[in-house]
Amino acid sequence: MDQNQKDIMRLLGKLSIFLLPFIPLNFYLYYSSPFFQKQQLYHERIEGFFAKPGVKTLLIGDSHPEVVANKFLNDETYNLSFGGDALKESYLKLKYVLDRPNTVQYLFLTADAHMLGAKRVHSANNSFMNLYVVKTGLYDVYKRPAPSVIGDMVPLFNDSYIEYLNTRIKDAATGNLGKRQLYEELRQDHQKWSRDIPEADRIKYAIATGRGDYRNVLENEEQVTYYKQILDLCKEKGIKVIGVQYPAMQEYIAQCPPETRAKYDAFLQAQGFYALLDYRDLTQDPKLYKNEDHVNDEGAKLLLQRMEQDLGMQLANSSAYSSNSHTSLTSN
Amino acid sequence: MLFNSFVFAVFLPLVFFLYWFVTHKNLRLQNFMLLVASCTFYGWWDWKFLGLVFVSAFIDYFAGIGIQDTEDPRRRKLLLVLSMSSNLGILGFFKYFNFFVDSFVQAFAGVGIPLEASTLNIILPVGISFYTFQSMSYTIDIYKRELEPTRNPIDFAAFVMFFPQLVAGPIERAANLLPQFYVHKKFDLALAQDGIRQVFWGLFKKIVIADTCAHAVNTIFDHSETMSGSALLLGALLFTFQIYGDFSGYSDIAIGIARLFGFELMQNFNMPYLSRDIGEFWRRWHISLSTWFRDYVYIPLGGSRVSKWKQIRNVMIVFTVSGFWHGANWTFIFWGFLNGLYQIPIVLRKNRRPATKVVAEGRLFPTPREVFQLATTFAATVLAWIFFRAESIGQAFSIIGEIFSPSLLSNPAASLGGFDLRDTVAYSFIAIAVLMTIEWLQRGKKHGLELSGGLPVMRWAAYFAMVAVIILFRRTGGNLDFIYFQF
Repeated sequence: MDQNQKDIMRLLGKLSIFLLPFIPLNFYLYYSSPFFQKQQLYHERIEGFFAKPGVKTLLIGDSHPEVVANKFLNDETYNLSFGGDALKESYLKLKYVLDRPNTVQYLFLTADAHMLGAKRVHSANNSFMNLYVVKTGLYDVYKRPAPSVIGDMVPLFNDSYIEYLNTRIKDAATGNLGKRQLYEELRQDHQKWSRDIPEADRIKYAIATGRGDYRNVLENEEQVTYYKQILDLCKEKGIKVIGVQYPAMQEYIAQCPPETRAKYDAFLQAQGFYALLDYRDLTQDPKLYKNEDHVNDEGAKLLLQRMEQDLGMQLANSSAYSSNSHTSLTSN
Repeated sequence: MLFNSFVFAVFLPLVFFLYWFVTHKNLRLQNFMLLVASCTFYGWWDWKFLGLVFVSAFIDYFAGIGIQDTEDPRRRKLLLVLSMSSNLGILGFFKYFNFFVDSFVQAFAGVGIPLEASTLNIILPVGISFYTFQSMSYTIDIYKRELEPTRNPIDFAAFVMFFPQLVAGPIERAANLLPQFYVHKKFDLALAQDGIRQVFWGLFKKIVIADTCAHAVNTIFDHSETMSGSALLLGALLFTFQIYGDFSGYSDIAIGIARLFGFELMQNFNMPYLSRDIGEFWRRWHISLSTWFRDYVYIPLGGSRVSKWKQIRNVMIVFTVSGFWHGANWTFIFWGFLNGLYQIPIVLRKNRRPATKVVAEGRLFPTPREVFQLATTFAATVLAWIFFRAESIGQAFSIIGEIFSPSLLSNPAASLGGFDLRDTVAYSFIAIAVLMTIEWLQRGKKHGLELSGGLPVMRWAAYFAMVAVIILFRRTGGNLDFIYFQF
């Protein structure tokens, strides 16, 4: 080794001082942060498909179809949906799953208008898909080359995680951490919505969320392209696609401007679904909601029951109908 | 390939390793290695445009030798004209063709003569304004007998295409950079260490300052018609720091990377917002372009050795052309023209302030007079940047009109409320405060992280803090390209 190379090694030695805390810190964040715990759950949801041989029916979309949880579904039905997913994530998941040996015959694809709205152009879940971008080789989906995707798997290089972290830092700095936790609890507690939130506030939430969700529907070409790519993929695999619009509070649904709704309905009609199911006004009973645009477990069972009735298909397992809340299934 | 991308994070160590561990024993191999690396770097955007760089380099290489080998003044001039016209021809076609066609049609329509002319769908090759100017300076210097041409095409191509500064400068002079390709490189630890510090400083300016400001700036300028004067002023202020962070950040990264390979590039920015007059600002902003125009346009026009009126004419020509260099839009031309106007009082004044003298030298705080000078210079640059950023001259004037209206006194949050920009604006101003504080404390140094003396533990703490800030507070998502790539 000549002097040049000795000096280079000294330089690299100094640079490695940065790596000393960097490597363990990344490991620590990966195993301790709720963000990466959610990523693990996300991956488990995808891989769970392969643990259930003989699946004939798939559900895909965001948190709206996610309410039809796998715990309610029979052995031939599987829900790949995950809260916050956009169409790119749905496409990548389907591509990954359907390109491997499978027995899928039907796909329940979300047909909710907000999936083609401004808020779903990018999903914060996109980094959860890094592993599957590498596995499928579909680097074009996020327009990121392989080194960028691989680098994004390192917690402190992960853009979505940094955004998450920044939000938490900001909340901590402004004293909003507690408020956010309360809001998250409100979103998840299946009874809190009807039990603790006054009707006026429920309406207020529904209007605010609906306004945000229905912004710029069908205005992003990329979203439309990915929706069609999902349909094309299914066509290529001989899978029948059933479009589903999921239940939400009336005040939420009403935020979609009539002209947007008309345009969107025409769009749906042109997609050639095997069937198109509209459950938006399935129920307005607050007891069946966990928040303004998601039914709770009881609401999900009702939804599942209606889907089975409408299509003449068996989707639910025995536990879905064995609870003591049978009365609520017949409400509305 | 962007400096702030993972692809580059793989590319750079690879090239560094090959350069110092594989090709280190042979100068020619080292230069060839750099040429291949530069082709890969540039070709990553679009391989087709690589040919264009080679055409430009090929013409100038042979023109340079031709000029040197003949004593016939007419032949020398002819070869120089050939070199310049081919470079300016390439630049003119790719950058200005559509602008001239559009302007021509509009001018005739203005006097009631409708013309039918179609523009072409021309893609602007990345960095074309930078490498053509760098290549042109080579033949001009040979023509002026200030430089000997190289007879080695690899050295010359490596000089024209040297990847750290190929796409956004500094626009190097052959007299400074080319001879560095003739010397076998030995690794200089001190140079490389400072290079790495400068890279980090550049990354901070780009991905913390510029990219954060960009988000708010784009929204404010895209919706300028609905914004209050106060919100528009906020947008103009943020753009002032966006363009600085973006461009000087790129230069710092370029200079730092070049140092890792044993090359010294010229300083391109010298803390320009700490200038006390606009003349000083232009000796601290985009120095490589300013000196290019000074040496190849201003001085040949007579420079300062002519009457005051001719000096003013020369200044106006240089600044207007410099504006046009930035882009094919009247907004850039007007921006250059306005900066030319700013220079007139300085031209008329006898004593000029040397750029090397820093403000409040030897003191922590400036005097009230210096504060006034700094503030007025800064305000003048902010005003000019509005033209640079606006889509049209009309938009720029309506923005300025709104800024100088009673709505300047309104709460900007009222205009920005619907765009979810509160956090971005707050982050931007915190980052700008950090930047300006460091620059103030480090004025007189080449870059903000040029730390010497003091306790090593303090220096390391500063490095760690800078890296932490870059990682944690970088702007994520969206288009994070460098602004000057479009030039």
